[in-house]
Amino acid sequence: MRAWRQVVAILVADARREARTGEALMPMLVFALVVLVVSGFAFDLPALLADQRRRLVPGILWIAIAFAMLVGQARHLLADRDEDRASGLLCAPIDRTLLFGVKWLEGILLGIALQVVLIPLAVVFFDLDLGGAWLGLAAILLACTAALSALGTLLGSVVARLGRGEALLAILVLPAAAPVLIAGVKTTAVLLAGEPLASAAPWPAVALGTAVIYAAVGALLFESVLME
Amino acid sequence: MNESSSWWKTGAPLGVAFAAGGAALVWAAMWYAPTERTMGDVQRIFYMHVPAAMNGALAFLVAAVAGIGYLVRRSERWDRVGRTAVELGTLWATIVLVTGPIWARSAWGAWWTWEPRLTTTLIAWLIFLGAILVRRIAGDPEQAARLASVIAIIGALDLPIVYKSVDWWRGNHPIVFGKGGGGLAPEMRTAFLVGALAVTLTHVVLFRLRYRLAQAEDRIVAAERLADEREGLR
Repeated sequence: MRAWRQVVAILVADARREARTGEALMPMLVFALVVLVVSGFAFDLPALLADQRRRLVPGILWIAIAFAMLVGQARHLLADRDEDRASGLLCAPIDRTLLFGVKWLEGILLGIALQVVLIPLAVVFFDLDLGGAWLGLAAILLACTAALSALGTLLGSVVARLGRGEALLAILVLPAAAPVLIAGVKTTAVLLAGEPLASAAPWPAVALGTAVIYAAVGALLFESVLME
Repeated sequence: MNESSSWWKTGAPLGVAFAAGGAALVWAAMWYAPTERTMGDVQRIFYMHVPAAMNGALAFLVAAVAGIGYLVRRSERWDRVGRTAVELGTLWATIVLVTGPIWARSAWGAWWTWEPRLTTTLIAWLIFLGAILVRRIAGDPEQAARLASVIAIIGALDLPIVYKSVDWWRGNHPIVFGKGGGGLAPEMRTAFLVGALAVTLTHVVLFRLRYRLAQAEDRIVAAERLADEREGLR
């Protein structure tokens, strides 16, 4: 019961701060939007047929999500460090695994907030017909976001300890996140082609599996990263 | 007794074994093994490529085990093993990533085909390069050891993906051994075993040399700390 109170207290405090400053979500949204717009020009999407666009859009979408999440999590963790909130959290009598859980959950919530805006924009920009794919898309977005958030939380803390920013975080997270991104792109492509989620096998399972593995490893290793 | 022990400490026996192994590898790959019927001489890369891949995987596994060992025990010895294994694993992966495309160009007509096993090796290589980078950026040796251990453990998670990637991505990497593999002619098998032995021996020699270098680095850091402390007391 006490643990739940601690989780809620940190979540509420961070949500209030985010609502007041927009320090993580605003750069994430703007960055993702820029990626969509630049991709439209770079791949000359209006000149492509609908089928060709469907092959490119999943990749564009996941590049936008992955990089925007890196930006958001780096901003969030670096702000924790710069304003000395990290020291406050470390001094608090809270279990480190629980602290990882809270930061992981915050990463997922940031990812969901980003996708709630980004996916409708992608539908408009790239003339997508999601049809009945919404539920499947939501499921794969959630699984991949959970995996990306776990990696971002653990490795973001490494980067924050070293006093570095988004560039090092991208170097550390993106190679490890490759299976997650492949799973996300493959499943999204299947869904955009109008096929059910089950026909994307084994990729949804890969996304879910990596989310579980990275979250478990992150929870185990988080204390080692935070140690002074 | 003393003389033989000091001769051993110079690393000369390992140097001799290293040279003999290297010569045996060149002989087995270039002269002893017959020319493969379909691929021709370029197939000889196999005798270096596969042992390098095996030793790279072994080094990454050792790095992860050493990472766990360091995080549990906080012993400098585990850190030195991890530091050495990460660097050697990256070296072997580099050799795999160079020899693979040379073979691919001849066999498949393209240097890089995004073939799954080679691509995943590249991903593992990037992750361990990240571990080396983190170690260089960190100022404090203890922090460097801790954070690099974390990266090495995460990196090792990619190794099962490397191994399983042929199944997952249904790639076109040649499977020589095991289920679905074509197998090797007896002379080729002997040449491969010589290659595997020579590369593993080289790995042992380099490991020993790098580990001793790590010991010397640690002694220098300790001496610098002591000097700083004494300076502070004055």
